[in-house]
Amino acid sequence: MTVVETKLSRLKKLIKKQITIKEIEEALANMGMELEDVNEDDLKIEITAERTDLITPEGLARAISSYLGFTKEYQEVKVNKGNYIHNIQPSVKKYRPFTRSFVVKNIKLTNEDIQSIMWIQEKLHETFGRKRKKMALGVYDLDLIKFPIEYTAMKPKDFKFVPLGMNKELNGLQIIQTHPTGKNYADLIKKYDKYPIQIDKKNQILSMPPIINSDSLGKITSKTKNIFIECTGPDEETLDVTMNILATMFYDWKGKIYSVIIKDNKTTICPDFTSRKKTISIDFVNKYIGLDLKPKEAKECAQKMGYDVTDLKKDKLTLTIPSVRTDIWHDVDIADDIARGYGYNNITPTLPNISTIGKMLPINTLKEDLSNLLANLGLIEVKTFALTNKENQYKKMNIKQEPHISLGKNTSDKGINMVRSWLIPECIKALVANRNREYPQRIFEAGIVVIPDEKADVKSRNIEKLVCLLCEEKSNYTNIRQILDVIMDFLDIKYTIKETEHSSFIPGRVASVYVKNKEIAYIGELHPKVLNNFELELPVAALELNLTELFSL
Amino acid sequence: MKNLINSLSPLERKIIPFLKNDSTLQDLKESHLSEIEITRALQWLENKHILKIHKQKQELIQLDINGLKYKEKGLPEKQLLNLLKTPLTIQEIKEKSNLSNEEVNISLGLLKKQSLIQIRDKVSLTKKELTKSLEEQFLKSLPLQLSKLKPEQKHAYQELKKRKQIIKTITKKELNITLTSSGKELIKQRIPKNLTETLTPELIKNHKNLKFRRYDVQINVPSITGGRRHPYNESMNIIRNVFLEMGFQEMEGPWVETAFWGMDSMWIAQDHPMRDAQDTFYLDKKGKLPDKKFIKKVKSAHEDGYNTGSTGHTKEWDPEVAKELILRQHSTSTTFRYFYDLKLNQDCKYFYIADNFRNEAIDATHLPEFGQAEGFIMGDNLTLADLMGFIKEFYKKLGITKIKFKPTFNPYTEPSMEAHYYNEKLGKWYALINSGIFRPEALAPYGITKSVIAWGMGSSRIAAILTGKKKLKDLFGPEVDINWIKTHKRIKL
Repeated sequence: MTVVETKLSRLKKLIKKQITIKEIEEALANMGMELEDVNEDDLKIEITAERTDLITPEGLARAISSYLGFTKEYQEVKVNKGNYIHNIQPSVKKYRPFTRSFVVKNIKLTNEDIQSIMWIQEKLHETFGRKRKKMALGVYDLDLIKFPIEYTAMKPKDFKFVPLGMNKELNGLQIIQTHPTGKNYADLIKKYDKYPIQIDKKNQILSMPPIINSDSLGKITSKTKNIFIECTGPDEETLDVTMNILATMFYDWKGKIYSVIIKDNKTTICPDFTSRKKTISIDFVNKYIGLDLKPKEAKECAQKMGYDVTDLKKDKLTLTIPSVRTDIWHDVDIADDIARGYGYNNITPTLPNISTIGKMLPINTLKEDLSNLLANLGLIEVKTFALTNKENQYKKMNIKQEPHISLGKNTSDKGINMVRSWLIPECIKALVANRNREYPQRIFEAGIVVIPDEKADVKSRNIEKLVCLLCEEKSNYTNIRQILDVIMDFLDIKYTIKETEHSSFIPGRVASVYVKNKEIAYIGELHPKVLNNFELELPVAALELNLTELFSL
Repeated sequence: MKNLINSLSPLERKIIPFLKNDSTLQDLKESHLSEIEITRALQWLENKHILKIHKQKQELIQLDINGLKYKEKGLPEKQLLNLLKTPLTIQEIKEKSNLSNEEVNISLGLLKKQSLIQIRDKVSLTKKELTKSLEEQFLKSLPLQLSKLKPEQKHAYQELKKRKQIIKTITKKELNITLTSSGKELIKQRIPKNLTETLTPELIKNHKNLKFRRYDVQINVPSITGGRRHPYNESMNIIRNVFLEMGFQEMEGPWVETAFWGMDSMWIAQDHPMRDAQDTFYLDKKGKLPDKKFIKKVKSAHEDGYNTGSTGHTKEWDPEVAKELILRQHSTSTTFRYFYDLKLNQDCKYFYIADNFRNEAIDATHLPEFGQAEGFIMGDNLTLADLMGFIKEFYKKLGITKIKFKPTFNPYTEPSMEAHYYNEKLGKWYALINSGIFRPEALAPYGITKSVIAWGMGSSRIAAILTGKKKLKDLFGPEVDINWIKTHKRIKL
């Protein structure tokens, strides 16, 4: 989800019709967008990720205008043929291989327009450009630049220029080491031996993509009349769409769009508004959505969603997909747009009779039965977190680290570095958090832990566990053993018990529980060392039962 | 009155014979009950409208250190008068009396002022007959209530107050009672002593002549708690029951997934933001992909749309990226595992109430783990209208009837649809359900020719709504208040 900030007055000017905020809100909702906030003239509109074309107020205005029927045909941008040459040098191919660019002439920019350009540039970088990794763009004063422009790569110490917001020249390395924006995005290029640059015939550096533009060339003011726009990235399609979105915007601002010849191992003219045509069966749409649209109705719905309908023959609807729409892969995408044009809330819900038998997972039936049993015995159910850390799972429990599911380096919460491999330590945290509450505290949890398993495709497997903790002045082995007895008697399972060693427990007061020679549980009194580590002042008797194992027997 | 008498508790019965109109706590101590027992019994009787308790602060005059001494030996001036049966010089007085110089001086001054002595060479009495002084009488009658002093007592109090540590006043909370009309009648009644309190096995056998004390059935009793299920899991059980009632089978799947099952298997593009390490927990390890024939189909679906007529993502699909191990961000991974493992292509309904993970720092409203419940229906030509119908029924079972639909975008469903519900309490629309029809590109590699509609919802959010908890951290996790679990209300739909 992306939030577009714009002004109501700007939208009204672009739509060129009397329109209420209510109408805008409804049209947006029907199209799948949301008017999130209205504050006098300021609007916040939430758009979904696939509709990159709506990131500009111009794109939004076009969409609203056609949804409300003000425009029936999609107005494609008129591109004038330019003689501008933009060369891609082989040296840059292994770092950031592609660039696209175009020229806008005779434009009048207000301060609001300039702010809008900057805002859209940042938004595109963040979303569509995946934080500049997939796409980064720059806007320049055309009159300061001499063509052809070379997109090339140079060693970072071999070039220098004044980056945006600075007053002295820096070389490439200095930029990523000292410039605030440079430091922010350094990760994108610092591994390279050469950095990409855009440089003109006068050897002026326009920018060092995807990091920063030149301070003198990359600054747009209300005096700027003619503009050069470029973008770079690893994927041509993303760049083409970005250029089309921006060319549409400037076109709607009454600028004249001129194409640039991009010379790679092939020649590309940019921007390219060649649009796709598609023929779709109305019967398919009706069957897919659950509608009964007549051809004419289907046509109107498609037009509302910005398609140019070029032909309508019986069941076949032929339409042109605007070139800025990157989200049309299949007929189902057009079917959905027709449904949006019709309005989801105008569709009558139906309920097909599909006869099936409901079934709960047997392991969950077992968990539920045991949880209810324990609650009936007076225990309180807790639900702890699955994500935890080694300190809690091992060190505080007075045991050595065991193989476990470790999370990677990039965890946002520094208190988390693994998935729990046993449940007792996490349940103890519930006792710790409730130390100021009344005792006795007798708690239980039925929950999943994950342990390594090299044989599995995911190198691990889930294990269902059941834990009981008894915490009060006199809780001891007898008390927890009584709980175990009730559980096993309830399940009608015979078990044997053997003394064991486990450094989380008091020696001589800990045991393993076996069913058919399989260890299915351990039980005992927690060691005072463990209690001290958790700052618990009362004894705790504990039971951890492996339900998965028990269930498989 | 008879019922009243028969409902008196043992304590009440013990105190009643001592009740008078205007009895004080002090008076009632004659009952040999402790102060706590008396106040408790009075409270009960007040509840029964037998009496009224008046609580007041009282200033009580008591003997101080010197006062206690003088009470026995008499005031110093009295001692002096007794000594002066024969006239004595001041020096003689000081020698013969047990009084301090200060006491002697004060006493002489007092007696002179009252013209009881004359002081020349020697000190002598002016009168032969001695009467008891007001102060003496006052001391003898202590303790007294300050507010109830008679005029002459007041004078003595004023005089003694001036002198060193003879009397002190202390503030005491006092209570006294007044009887109501039924109280006045009650104390005239004979209060039976042989009412049965606790029923014992012996009494049960011979119950014929028993007279039971009647209880005050309206009285509040101490609270108790017992074992309880967690409200979060109770909420999950509600959701599970809804799915079961609608004929769904339950699924389960691993928490640790390959990126393949988490994303690639359902046609999420390899450059989708969902893959960012900022959103997903990566384990920095690789897992295994399913069989090669199937992988070839998935690769084709990504690159060129396989046999669906789709353009595909038109980018090379890299199996190595799909091998990355992650903690699953959604349980749809399990849905696609079921498609593959069970070779599903028949009418069926499945659901899963699952724990999922996103790489997020813990605070009051954000948790890196969260619950999601989702269900899918596989059938012939299922439509968006069918999806709406099922969601409407599903919401209805959760007690929600006011809903509206809104288009949205999911990478693996088209159409994708949110179902908003109207929260009457907050007067606002909320998105609770996300849903859609699985894309042909996502289904084709599994050989699924039927259509699949599916919906999912944040089950933690539903639990928050059902239990009235605003912060997720108060709803589940180790820091949840155990008292809340012990006393939470039944979840009503």
